[in-house]
Amino acid sequence: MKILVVVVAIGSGWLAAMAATESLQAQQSRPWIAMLQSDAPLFERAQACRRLAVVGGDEAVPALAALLSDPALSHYAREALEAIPHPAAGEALCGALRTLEGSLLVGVVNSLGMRREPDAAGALAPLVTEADSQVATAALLALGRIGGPEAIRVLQHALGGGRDDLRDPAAEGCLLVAARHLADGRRDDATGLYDAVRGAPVAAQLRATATRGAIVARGAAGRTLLVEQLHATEISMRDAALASIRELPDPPVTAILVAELETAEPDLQALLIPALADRESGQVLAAIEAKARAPSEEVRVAAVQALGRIGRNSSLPLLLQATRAPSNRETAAAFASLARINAPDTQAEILQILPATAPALRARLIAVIGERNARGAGAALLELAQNPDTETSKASLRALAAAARPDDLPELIRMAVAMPDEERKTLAARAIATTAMRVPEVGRRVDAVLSQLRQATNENARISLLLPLGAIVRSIGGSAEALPVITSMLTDNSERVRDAALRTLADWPSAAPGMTLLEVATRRDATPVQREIGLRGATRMAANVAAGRDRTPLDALAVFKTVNGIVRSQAEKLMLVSGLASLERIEAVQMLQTYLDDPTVHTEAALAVVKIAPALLASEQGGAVRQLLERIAASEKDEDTRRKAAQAAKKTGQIRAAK
Amino acid sequence: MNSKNRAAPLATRRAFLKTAVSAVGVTLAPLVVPARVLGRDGGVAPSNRVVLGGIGIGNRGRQVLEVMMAEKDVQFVATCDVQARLRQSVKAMVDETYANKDCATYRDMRELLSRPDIDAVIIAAGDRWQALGPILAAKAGKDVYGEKPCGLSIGECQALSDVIRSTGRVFQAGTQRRNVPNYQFAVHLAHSGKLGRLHTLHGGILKLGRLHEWLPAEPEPMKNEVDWDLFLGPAGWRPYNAAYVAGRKWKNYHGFISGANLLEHGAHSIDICQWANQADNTAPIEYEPEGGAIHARYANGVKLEFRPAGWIGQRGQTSGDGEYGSTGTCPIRFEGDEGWVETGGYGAIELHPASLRNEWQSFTMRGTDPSLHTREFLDCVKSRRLPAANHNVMRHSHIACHAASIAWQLGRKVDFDPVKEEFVGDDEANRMRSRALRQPWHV
Repeated sequence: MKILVVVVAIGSGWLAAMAATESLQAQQSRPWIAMLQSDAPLFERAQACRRLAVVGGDEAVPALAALLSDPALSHYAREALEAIPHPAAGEALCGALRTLEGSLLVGVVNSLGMRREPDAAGALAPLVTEADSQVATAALLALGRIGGPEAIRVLQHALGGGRDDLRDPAAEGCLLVAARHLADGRRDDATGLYDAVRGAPVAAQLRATATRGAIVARGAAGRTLLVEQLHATEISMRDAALASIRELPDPPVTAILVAELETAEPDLQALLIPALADRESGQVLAAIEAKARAPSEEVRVAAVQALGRIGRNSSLPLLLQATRAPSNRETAAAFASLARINAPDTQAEILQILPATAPALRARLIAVIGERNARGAGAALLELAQNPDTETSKASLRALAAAARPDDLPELIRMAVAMPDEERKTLAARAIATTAMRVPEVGRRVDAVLSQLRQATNENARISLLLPLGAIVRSIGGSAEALPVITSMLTDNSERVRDAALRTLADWPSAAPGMTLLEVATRRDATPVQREIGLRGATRMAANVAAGRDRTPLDALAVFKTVNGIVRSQAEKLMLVSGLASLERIEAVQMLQTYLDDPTVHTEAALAVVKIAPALLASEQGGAVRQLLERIAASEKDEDTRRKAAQAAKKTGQIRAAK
Repeated sequence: MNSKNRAAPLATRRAFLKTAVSAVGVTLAPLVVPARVLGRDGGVAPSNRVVLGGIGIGNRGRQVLEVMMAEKDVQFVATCDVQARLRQSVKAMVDETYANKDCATYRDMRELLSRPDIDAVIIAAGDRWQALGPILAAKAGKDVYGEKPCGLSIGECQALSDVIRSTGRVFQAGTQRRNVPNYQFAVHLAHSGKLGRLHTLHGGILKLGRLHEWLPAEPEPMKNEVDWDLFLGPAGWRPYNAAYVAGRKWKNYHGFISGANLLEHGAHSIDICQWANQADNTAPIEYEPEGGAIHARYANGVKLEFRPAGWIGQRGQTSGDGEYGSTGTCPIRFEGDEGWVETGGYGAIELHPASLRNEWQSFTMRGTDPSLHTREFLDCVKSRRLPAANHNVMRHSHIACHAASIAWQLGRKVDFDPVKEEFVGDDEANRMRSRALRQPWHV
């Protein structure tokens, strides 16, 4: 009696809570239901359906059901009816089966399937005999989702029935039921349905899906079928069997597949190897290592690839041997596997064989060390970088970019200076810059190179060091320590050093050297190269400051005025005009005005005016700017620029009128 | 690409296999086989060539298609689009590459999928098609490269994953960052313990929200120009307006796009976070929105932050939808009790503390580059292996994104059961797990 009281009490509370919930729900639904029943536009009624999908209850069902016959809104109504958990929604959908036809009927059938409406099987069964193939198909699939004895009876009947157009959808329905059985642990029931589909005259992919299911549903007992299907002549069956291997983790299956690997044809072996490699087992590793020596290239490649994923130290001799194979595919696979294999001895093994290896192969093995980002390889690679063989040297420099550590920097810098050609100097510079980026403190990343640069006494050394220093400075956003050292080199005795320093400053990540560059470019004795580099750098920096991308204190207007006074070629004028497009000042417009009649840059100048004009509307010179825009709109040859200028002038006029 | 090195389209992988099978036991007449066909001159033998079709190849699809066609073992034979201009544009590009006129065009993907000679398809037809399209393809026996997001709802992602698993087809989601080295490097740091015990993961997302309006009705074009009914596909009906079909503007509208725009970048960045947390078979158990961000937590206690802004570096490059820092699009950040790593689509790596600096590497490959990803797809089509961005990985990372989006749309915390893949005691949220498909479509 006591228990009964408690149950009743809980039940009452639950009912009360439900009532309160329903009341709230009804309250939330009411405006949306009213919207559905009004003559509101389609869009608003569609949105009401969507809202009811989230908050609607049984009170919303009649209004939604009334829309099922509306071609524009039927889908939106179904969206809500699919979501509303109350049985009334399912009943409404079932009711609509009697009145709808064509695609609207198909939609309702689909919704019943998505709801897995348990009482709908009886109502859906007659639709399977509909002449409209789309309706009958939808009914079969919905029955597959709903399941149950009635649905299975109808599906199996259609699977073996006389209508060709319904066998495939019946099979798909059976597969849906079988998948549900399998998920629920009803393996025998699932197996029966999968086998029925496998034996039916249906599309190959459906039989393949059934085959995969039949193997998985049988569990470890499915291995006979698995092996049988691995040898199937239909590719889709073989693919299904291969896919099922991932779902059969049992050790006996592994053993059988390893045995199969010994006897199968080479093309199947090549497919079994990656499938086996997904299964962790010492037995698998040994089998795959053996296959790295198989007669078939296809099999060897598969084995070598798999060893990259699962291999250990024992696999290294095989992979190193494969790097010497005559086949490009096999060697490529071997290098890739050496780069990724989780075997602690890899680096040591590679370094050990390098001296006795032919130069071409040696270079590729060195690249592997770099790809592995191998720690502790720096010293060996530094030595190899000085090897007389050029390819060995270059490969080592490339690998150093990945494998060197800050401790290696002094030797790396010393070596870079001694490199005999430009290509290797560049590779060394890249390695230095990358290694410097591994120095923890940002401010200390230039130290090693800068220190050597200060001490460098000959021209080649200074030029060699400026290259990596510039790269480091760009990566860290500038360096107050490096700037004066590089600036001082603008007065170096060597013209090559002066040019290299100027290039480094011209690529500086901030505008700090802007005035210095301008000063160099405007010197009377500046060479054409120095003038071009200086102007380019100064103009870029001024533009960045003018655009707000760089907050370095630099008088951008002064830079542009100076440049404006000396530009000669079209390239220089273009550089200036594009820079001025970032300076939203009337002086920029005035400078640009002089280029509007220049046949080489007038369109670019006009575009620059159009770009900065809006910012000047409110100024006292707004009228002059507008006149200039109107002039561009009237006279510029480029149609697009004319249109933009006219639009800008119109806006200018509107703003001035408003003021 | 040198079209002279391309094999003639008459000998395909499927046709070759079929012929090889049917020829067993038959006496073969002497036959001179060109070395190119046997693959001895650097060409690829038919049995090793993957015959591809493309569906909905627009801007992104074209990037993917171009890198696929650059592979010697690919032969692209057909394209499908509901818009004539896109059909013809892809055909022109393919025909020019192969120096022939053989690329077939289709308006309805079901026709393309019925071709028995096609092994695999690239599907990049927009979010509304990205579950249904691959489902139809897998049921037709095709392997699928499917652009992300792979479904408008949790239900669609589940359905796609289930179909791929049951059919045994190869599916690769277009979440190519799984195969981009800087992201792999960041995950390696997390997995190797170099960050210490992971406690917080951050994935970049764009600004959330979409327009719920319909554009004004305009006269529908002829079906052979734009098939509006097929353009809508499983999405809800709305009147035609040319703006929807011009470029990427459809992405602005609810009904066409997934999860209030969360999956546009989240499908990438959250996917990488899932990987870092070794959570490819699960998803966070709680999601709490705050402004434009969502705070989530896994059952193992690790936090997952869906973040629209505040990344390393200067405020900078905007995509129009949000902000990201100097590391680029789809940024990620993994924090452990011994350090953190941050990276993004530009390849730059940011690390802390000093002791980790030794691990720093330079990467140049962009996060948007699909070349390594597509190569993996082709290899998997041949070997039948699971790609890194396989259906199961997609399922859970996309479900995490959809669950976060639902929390954001509801404006409150939600709890989620990643085993049952349903919200806990939350009828409203559970109802948002799926959307009905417009008739006659079904998953």
